[in-house]
Amino acid sequence: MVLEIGNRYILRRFFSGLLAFLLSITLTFFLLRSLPGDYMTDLLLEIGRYAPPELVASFKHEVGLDLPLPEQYLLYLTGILKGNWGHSFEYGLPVFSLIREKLYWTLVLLLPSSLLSAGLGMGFGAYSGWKNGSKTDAFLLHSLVFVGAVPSYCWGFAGLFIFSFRLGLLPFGGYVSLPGTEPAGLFRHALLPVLTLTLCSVPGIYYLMRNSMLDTLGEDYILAARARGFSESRILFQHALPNSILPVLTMTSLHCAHMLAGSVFIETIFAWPGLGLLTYSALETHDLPLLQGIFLVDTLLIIIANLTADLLYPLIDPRIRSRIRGE
Amino acid sequence: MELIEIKSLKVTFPTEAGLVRSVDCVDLQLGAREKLGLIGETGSGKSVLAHATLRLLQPDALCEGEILYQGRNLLDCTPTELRRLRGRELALIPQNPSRALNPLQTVGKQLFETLRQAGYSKKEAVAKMPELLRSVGAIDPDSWAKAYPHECSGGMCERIVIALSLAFSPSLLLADEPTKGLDSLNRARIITLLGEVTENRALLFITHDLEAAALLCTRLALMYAGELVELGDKAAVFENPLHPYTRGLLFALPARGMQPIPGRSPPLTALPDGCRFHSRCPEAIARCRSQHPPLFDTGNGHFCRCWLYV
Repeated sequence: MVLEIGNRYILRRFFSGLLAFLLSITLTFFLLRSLPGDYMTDLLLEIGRYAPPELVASFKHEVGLDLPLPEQYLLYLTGILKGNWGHSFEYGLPVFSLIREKLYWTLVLLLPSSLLSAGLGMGFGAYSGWKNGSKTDAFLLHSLVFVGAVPSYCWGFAGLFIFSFRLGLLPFGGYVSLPGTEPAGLFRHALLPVLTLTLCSVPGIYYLMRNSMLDTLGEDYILAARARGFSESRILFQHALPNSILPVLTMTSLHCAHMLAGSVFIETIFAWPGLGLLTYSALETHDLPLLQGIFLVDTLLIIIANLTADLLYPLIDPRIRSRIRGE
Repeated sequence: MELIEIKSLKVTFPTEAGLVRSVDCVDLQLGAREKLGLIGETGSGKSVLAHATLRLLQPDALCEGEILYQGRNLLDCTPTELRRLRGRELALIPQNPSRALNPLQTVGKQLFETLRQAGYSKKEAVAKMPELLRSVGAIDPDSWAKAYPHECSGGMCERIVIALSLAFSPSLLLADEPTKGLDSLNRARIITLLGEVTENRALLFITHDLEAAALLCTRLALMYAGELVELGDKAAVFENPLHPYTRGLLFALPARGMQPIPGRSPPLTALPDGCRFHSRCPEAIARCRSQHPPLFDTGNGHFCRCWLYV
């Protein structure tokens, strides 16, 4: 099937992804450098309320922050291409290995909540649209508007308050129980953050899916299928559902990638040692190389999500297959 | 007994602008092999009538009156009973054929699904498919079956939706503007095809194409703003049109001068007092403005809703 899509399409998508990547890391590079304050001044002020200028200057010289911006940028770009993402100011370790370790723990949260929220959001949305106007539809719509209107950290705190503080069922934070990282303990620790992340991204996917289902139900082929006496379940699963999922696909994949941003709050609240918590501390300390690395990974994840949707479309939609063949 | 008998059918839709009276007190009968042309401009209620017959209207539509199919009122049928009738007995050839096909499935898959619904086994359905496609004029049925709807031309889509409706061998075909948007060659072919496939069944041919109706149908019914304004044998209607609206439509034909009727039909939320056509009627008299005319029987099964024939 992939071969049928045509390598040109894949190449084109890949190159546009690469372009987006370069643009994005360039923007983050310059934006981060226009932030007020710097690592050494912050650190010294925290320790002793006084930052000797010569110390700050020598630190800047050591890490190359005294070079002209274009030169820094070029060094940064060539570094990335060579696989050298720099060293963290704070930890002194290579950024890449720091991120790799934390990314693993973030994915432990992100993958299950992506799958859960895509499944639940699409499922509820499709059902709600299909049963448009019913009591279930009204209930789902109103409750999910409410869920979506409350910020994620509030749900995080609410979860902690009820399940950990009041009921004592779940741990307050962290990721392992002593001794060791047995799966049951990990599950207990991950449960609340995963549920919170899911809860916050279900509404967005739900609205999209519900609207798309409503649009699809107005299509002539649904009416035509009814006129042929097909059962309602056949109409739903063979005709309405596949067609209404199509426009939701891109947004859902992006939604899942955007959870990464949401995970900054969630990981901070639940003290989950992932990329979100790392981002938070790197922002606090002005750890430029680490921030650059994190944003680079964020960008990559979003581009990968987008690319996945782009490559999925031709597999599902014959109209897009024809368009690609015609190109 | 008539195959289908529509008795004072009223269809209304509640909207924000008020109650839309799409179909108003329509009476129609159709015999077992009769071909009736239902003619009217957009918004005259002809498609709504067809959808009401199949009970395919949106749930908030209000239907009053009776639609008797072989003596059974369709408006009283349960959803399960309706499902058994739809397709099998009463088949719809929907408007906009290219949009009436699921864009994600091949033509073959949709035909197969429909044949399975019609009661064929998997083997029979596979065997029947090329035959069915050939019967609607496909020379190479296999390539048709492999095509997706977006790869088919307008004429091809029309043939495919006709094939889908024939999968069941229904006793009544409701064809909703099947010649719309086709070039003259394809239009002629579709008219011929519809004539062939309805040799042994009844046809309700909904159209604003008077000439196509004349070629296919034995009787014509003209609708204006939700109600019947003229009903009669094809020859009578064409040679001796009674209602000024019918006359206007005939004069609008390219062969008869191409004179369009001035003005536009009234909004269905605010229908005028008196005759609904009076504001556009060249022959309107004072009575037309104040009194709503009933459908007069002028003899020989020719009916007309006009005060000129009291």
